[in-house]
Amino acid sequence: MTPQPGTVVGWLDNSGIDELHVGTFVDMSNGSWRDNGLAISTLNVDLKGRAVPAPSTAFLVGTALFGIGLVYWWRVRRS
Amino acid sequence: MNRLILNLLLVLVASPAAANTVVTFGPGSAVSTIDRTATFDSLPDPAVDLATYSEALLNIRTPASAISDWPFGGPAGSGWWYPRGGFGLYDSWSQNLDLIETSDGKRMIGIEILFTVGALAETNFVWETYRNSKLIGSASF
Repeated sequence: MTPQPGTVVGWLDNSGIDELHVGTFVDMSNGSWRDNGLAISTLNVDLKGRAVPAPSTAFLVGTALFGIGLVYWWRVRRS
Repeated sequence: MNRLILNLLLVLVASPAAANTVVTFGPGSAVSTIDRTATFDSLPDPAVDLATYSEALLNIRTPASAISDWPFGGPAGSGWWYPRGGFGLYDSWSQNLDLIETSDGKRMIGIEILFTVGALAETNFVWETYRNSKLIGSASF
């Protein structure tokens, strides 16, 4: 796909990107290409490692109770 | 059977999903939360050397000295990052690509560029991404 003017072009990598190197060129109809300066109107960045909200106490207690129940069920089933 | 389940759980916990850099199109396709934004409102008047340009804790730089220009005769202060001319003076595309990185070393997971080059019907991109100074992705489209 060749981006059209007004397109938002993005790069996504959940493992993280330290540097993006990017340039633009125009593909000529005769098979050659012509370099072209990259023009940016707006640049937006999403950073890695944003603080993740801690799970609620109710969730932790519920998970623990579920685990205890699972172990209990497993033992009853085996006996 | 129990060992199998345990091993599966360990694999799921121990190995985060491998990922490669992918190109996306459209607002929000790569940046779900905007942590930093450069609008270039102070460009291009007065013109500055984009080889050292930084804004909003983002380095947006040309590989060689290149003065900011008004894209295709646009008005001053229209908020564009645009180096006069094309690539730099080096031999390969790789050496000539512009650089986008954070100025404080924070790692990015999503980058989006809005380009609005009115004078061109279409523009091709060539790009490379790096992590820990190692090439992790490259392509042209």
